[in-house]
Parts: sequence; structure tokens; C-alpha cells
Amino acid sequence: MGRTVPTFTMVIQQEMESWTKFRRGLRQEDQEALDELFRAARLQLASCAYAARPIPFESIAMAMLVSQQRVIGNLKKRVERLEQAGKQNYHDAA
Amino acid sequence: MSPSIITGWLFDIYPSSDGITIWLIDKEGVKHRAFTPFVPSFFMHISPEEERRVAALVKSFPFKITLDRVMRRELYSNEEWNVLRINVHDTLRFKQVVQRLERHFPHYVFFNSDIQTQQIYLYETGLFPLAFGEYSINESGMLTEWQLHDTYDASEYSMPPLSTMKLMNRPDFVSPKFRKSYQIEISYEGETYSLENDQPAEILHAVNSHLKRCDPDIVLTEYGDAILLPLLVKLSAELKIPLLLNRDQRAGYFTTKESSYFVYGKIVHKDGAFELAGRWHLDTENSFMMGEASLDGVVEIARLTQLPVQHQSRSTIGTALSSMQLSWAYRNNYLIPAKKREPEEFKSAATLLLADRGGLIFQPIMGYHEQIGELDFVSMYPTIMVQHNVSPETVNCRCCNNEAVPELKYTICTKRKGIVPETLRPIVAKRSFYKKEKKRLKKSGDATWHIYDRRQNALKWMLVTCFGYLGYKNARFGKIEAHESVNAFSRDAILTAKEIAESRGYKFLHAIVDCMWLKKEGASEADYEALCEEVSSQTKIEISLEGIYNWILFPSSKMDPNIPTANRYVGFYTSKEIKVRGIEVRRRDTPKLIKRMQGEMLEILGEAETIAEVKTLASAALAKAKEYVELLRSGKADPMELVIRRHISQEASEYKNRSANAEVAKALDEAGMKLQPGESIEYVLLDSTGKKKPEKARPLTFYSFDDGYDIEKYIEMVFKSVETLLLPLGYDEKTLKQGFGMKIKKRRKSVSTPFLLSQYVE
Repeated sequence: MGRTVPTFTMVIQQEMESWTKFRRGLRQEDQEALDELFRAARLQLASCAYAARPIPFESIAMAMLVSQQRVIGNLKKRVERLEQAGKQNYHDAA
Repeated sequence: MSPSIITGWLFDIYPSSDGITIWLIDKEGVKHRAFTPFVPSFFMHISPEEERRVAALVKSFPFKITLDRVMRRELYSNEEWNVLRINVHDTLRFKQVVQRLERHFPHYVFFNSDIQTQQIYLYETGLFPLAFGEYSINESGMLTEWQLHDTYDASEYSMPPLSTMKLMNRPDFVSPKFRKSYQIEISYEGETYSLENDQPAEILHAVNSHLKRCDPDIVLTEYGDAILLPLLVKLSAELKIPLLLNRDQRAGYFTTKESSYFVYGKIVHKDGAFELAGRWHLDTENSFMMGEASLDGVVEIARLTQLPVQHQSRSTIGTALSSMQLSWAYRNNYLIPAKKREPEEFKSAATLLLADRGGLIFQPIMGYHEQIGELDFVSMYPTIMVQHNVSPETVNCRCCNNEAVPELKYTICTKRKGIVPETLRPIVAKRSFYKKEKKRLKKSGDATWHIYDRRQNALKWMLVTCFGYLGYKNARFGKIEAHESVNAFSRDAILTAKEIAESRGYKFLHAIVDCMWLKKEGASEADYEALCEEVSSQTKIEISLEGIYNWILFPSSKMDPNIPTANRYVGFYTSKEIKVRGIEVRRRDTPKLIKRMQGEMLEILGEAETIAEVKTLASAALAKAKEYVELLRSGKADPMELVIRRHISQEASEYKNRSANAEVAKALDEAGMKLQPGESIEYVLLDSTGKKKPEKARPLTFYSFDDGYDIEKYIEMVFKSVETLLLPLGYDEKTLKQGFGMKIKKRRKSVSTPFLLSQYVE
């Protein structure tokens, strides 16, 4: 509708399409990981759109990293919890 | 006729051979016709030499046209211009003069030239539809003066006693648009009369006798614009039986052509208008306002915008808004360009990238959430325009330099008030008054709260769309930079709100442009109110607590179950009131049966106050779904509940694919029903695969009960809408089918396990 600049959802879609050849060269498991990354980028639509950087891939890559960092943080917490619980079990058993 | 003073309301107004004809209704409901001589004029910005050419040209008209020079202000520069005024001494031929001059002076700008004459009269006199006052009429029936006890932007006003006659096609399965017979139903004063179709002359005589007996002020129809009235008029001309639709028998009918146009990426079809003289013809099927807000809304907007009621009921909100701006311009002696000519300013690629964006939309965190608060900015865009003085002539004005707009650093004039904020101010104020009145009356059990609700709803639509017209290329007072500025302010406001909320320990779940969903364990209504107060004071835009939800669901995208989507959600407030957006039960294209099923499931889930309770109730909701699957499977579902309604986007011959839409459009076309893009079609799916039966779908018009329906496809629709609600609880198509004891077909594409995202949300 009279837009000169595409919406960021469209930008991500275009970016994904530009990686088709790269994706084809990946193993199936890795293809799924790549898809997952683009999905993660789509969670940060608002910040990508607001930043409006001239090279959209920068925002996309940053959005992927942010999501990954969140996952790492959450996994870390879970590992710590499990380790705590493990120690507890160990002590209880002893 | 003796001179008289009539205490009453201005009812109808239109141009006539003696100037302008005005109908008044007094307190007893008696109608009075009056006229007033009027000389409409328009302006050209033109040199004295060229003025001579104009003078020579206007002499060739067989009626009086006079020229003079006056001073008027130009809006963008705010300069006084010496312009040529062309006065046309015949209200019925104003347009003709404009068109002729435009042909001879194609490169000149015309001002105030494409406005209807009765409109110019209202702007110049300050009168408006249903204005209450004392009107003096002399012995020859001329309106000489008046004393109004009313203002166009009054919030409390009285209405004349109005009589209504309904004129309908008899209900039938065939849409009235495509019916050829004359089955008419007339109702008034609590009685309904059926007119049979054999003799067209009889129909006309009967309609006339009812019109005489009832003498309605309002003729209410369905498809009256497109079908009913044109048909009656055609018969009347053929049989030479005059029809008494007009109260003013000297006047003709005002008609316009039908049209199709684009709005928000969708093609919309609008029937041509058929307006009466001395009565109002309102077509409920061809009026946005009649559909959205009923007569109270139409009258509210007509008064405020000074558009005659019949015209207003058929016009878009853009027309209504620009009418208010035109009136303002007349009051303040500004010139109104006939066609917009303010070009977009040049901007760098970087500015374009920053500027050409809408409001912010944060993707929701998928799934069920409990104890969620929803905060909405009240009339965000209009408030921004009013608060920050955003208007086409104030943004990047030539006199100031203040970089007032966030991100874009555009300047906003501080020396004068803009036309857009000035016209919006009364709308914002009135709406807020009506909302308060509605709340107060509703609480005290007064039934008149409905009136205020309908009025505020009508205004709501003006406020919702006002912003779009700032950047719309056909808007008279639009400028893309103004549009961008409003967006920039809005992004700034929602981000400020987010920051304040997060600093107070709220979790930010989802936001769409002007509303946001927050979560904080144990936060009370008072906590949210305190948050609202801080956000309101910082952003200067009022934000209010829409409500606290027991639970809310943000379902996943239909295309990819691992991605959330904005604008689709369902939730229950603590009051057990439901709020739904975008899911099947709300969508117009969902068959009734599916809607009913999802509605009943939601009724069950709505009892839950926590997510744990939702989980417990899920099996009861599933049992409901199973009933529907079994009903569909048995073949006994009512096909009328399986009707699918779609808008067609192109003409039947233009469809290249073999979709159900295309097939139905073609079938209707072959049967002689010419559909325009934007019109709707209705059909029942017979075999969506197209393999077992020759037709994928059959139009409702040709459908008979033994045609059956596509059992598998409708069951799949059931599954889809069950998934929308229950997928987050682990019920996907596979488990559902297993639960219902059905065979499982292999999915073509395997869905990867949602690893990353499920971890992401904690």
C-alpha cells in the first residue's frame, strides 16, 4: 500500500530466499538449524524495524544472536538447577 | 403564503432552480419547504491579462457569471493572495462552469471548485444538518434569516420527530441484487404490507398510496441504491406513472455511479447512490455508518461535518473528515486547492528508511499466559496530532527550526495551529464526553446510554482513519511527512511505555502500535493504574487499563507452528468477558458451524481462571469438538451453516487458477450475474480436491440440499480451529485424530521439533 520500504517481515523473507543456495549445500540437520535461526530473527521484528539500519542483514544477524544468547542463558540456568538437584540427590543417597 | 417563523430543525438541503431548497421540520413534525437565493463561487490564482481571457469565456454562458478580485490566504505558505473570484448565478450549473474553465485553463490551479453547491452554502452560512433554531420565511417562501440555538459541535442536541418507512425486497435465498421479480415489502407504524409482483403498474400505485399515507421522512431500504429504487423509477418512466418517492415533486433524483476501489490492500465495491429530495433515503447495505453506528451515528457525523445526511451516510470517512477541514478553511478564509498539489519533499535514502515505517509491532510470546494486564493508549494517533500540532502545513514549515519529531528531526511550526489538529480537537473532546456519559448512564441503568455509545462509535471511526488521510495521495490536506511524524511519535510513545513498565518489574509480552500486554505476578488493578498514570504523564498521551485477563492465548502462525503472529489472540478478563481478535470465531470467512463450535469451546474454557484450569477443561472442550466432527461425518450438518463467504478480487474472466473462488465466480458469471471486484460470493464446498466431483464448490444460489458437502474438508476446518486453541497444550492434528479414532495421513512436510523457541520462552 504505497510503501517504498518493505516491511521487515518481507525483508526477512527476501533475506531467507537469498540464502537458498547456501541452504541447499547444508546437511538436512543443518538446514533445520538455519531455518530455526531465521525463525528466531522473526521474533525481533519490532527492534529490527525500529533500528532501520541500511543493511538489514546486520539487524537480522543481531536478532539471531540475541535469541541464541537468551537460549544459552536459559540452558545455563537449567544445567545449574539440574546440577544442584544432582548434588542434593548424591548427598541424600550418601 | 404569509411570513412565518418556524421553530425547528434543518432537515434537507439541495440546489434547485431558485437557488438552494431547504426543508425544515417543526416541533409538531410538520414539514416546510423554503428556498434561498445563492451564488456559489470559486477562485483562480491568475494574472490580469489572463483574467481577460476568463472574462471573455464566461460571457458565452447563457446565465449570469460575475468576476471580482478578493484576498484569500494560501494554506502552506500562509500568504495573502489576490485571487480572481468567479461567481456563478445558477446553483445547478456550477459544475458545468468549472469543467469548462478547467478545459480552457488546464495548467492553472482552481480553488474551492470541486465542492457541491449545497456544501458551499452550509460552509458560508455556518448552518448544518438538523441545526435547531428559529427560521424566518417571507411571503414568497424565501428563507430570510435565522437564529440558531445549536452548534455543529454540540454534545447535547435534540432530534426532530422523524417517520420511517421501510422498503424491502422480500426475503429470499437469492440476493436481492440478482433478483428480477418485484416482491416488495413495505412497513411503517408497526404494520408490514406485502406487494405481489404480477402487474408492475399495481406495484407502483401501491407504493405511491403507502408513500402518501405514511409520508415518511426516512425511506430505509436494503440495496435501495443499486436495485430497488432504480427499478421502481425505471418502471415509473416506462408506464408513465409518476412516483412519489421525492417529497419535492419538482426535483429529480441525485444519482452517482457504482465504483470499486482499493482500501487497505482489499478491493471494495460500492453501489452508486440514489438520493431523494425532501426525504432521506438510507440504504443499510450501502452505508458504512449505518452498518457501524446506525442513525444516531449518521446524524452525529452529519452535524459535525456539515454533510447532508443522505450524502454523509454514503460517503467514506475521508470525505467526512475533509468536509470538516473545508469548513474550517472557509471560516478562516483559506483557499482550498481542487486537486492536491503538495509534492513529497526530497529526502535522502537514510531518511526514507527511517521515515517510511508504521507503528511498532512486537511479536507476542506464544501460548497461554495468566494474570495479564492490557494497557491501551486512548485515541493515540489523533491525540498525537492534537498534542504535537502535526498537520501538513506545520510539518517542516518555512518559519521554524526545532527538530521536534523524534528520529526524523522534522520541524513542527510553533507559530500557528494546524488545520488537522484544529478539526480533530472537537472530535476527540466529543468522543471522550460521550464515553463518560455512556459509562455514567449505563451504571445508573438508564437505557439512553445506547445513544451515546452509538455516537461515540461513529466518532471512533473518524479518529481511527483520520491518520491514514494525512498520507493519502488523494487527501486534500495530506502530506506524507506529517504522516511519518505521527508514526515516529507513536513509536517513541510505545517504547517509553515499555521502558517504564519494565523498570517497574513488568514483563513485556506483546504490543501492537498503541496497546500492550504485560505480566507481573500478583499485580493489582491499583498497580496498573499507577503505571498508567506515569506513562500518561511522560508521553502526554492518555493510557488506560483495558482490563486484567484470567488468561490469554497467543496462538501460533497458521503457516508455521513455531512462529507467533501479531493480531490473533483470545482471552478472558477477570470479569469473564471475552476478547477475541483474528481467530476463526471472529473471522467473517469462517462457516457458521465452525464459528459455533469454536464459540462453544471457548465458553467452556472461559470458566477457567488459571492455566491449570484451562488444561483440566480442555478435555470437555474436545468432547464438544468431537460432537461436531460426528455431525459432519454423518452428513446431517445443515448446509446453510457451511456456507463460505468470500470477496472476489477480480472479474470472473480474469481468474487464471481453478480455486473454489474462481469456479464459483465463473459459474455465477455464466448464469448472467455480473460481479464487480470487491463484491461477495457465497458457496458450499462440494469437493475441494476437485477429484471426485465435477465442481469444487457450488454457489449458494444454485445449491440444493441433496448436493451434500465436502465432509473431509469441513472436518479439517474443525481440526484447524481446535488446533488454534489447543496446540499450545500439546494437541496437534495427529493427537486430535487419534483421540477421535481417525486414520492418520502422513504430512507432506515434517515439522521440525520446536527446539530453539520453546527454550527461548521461559
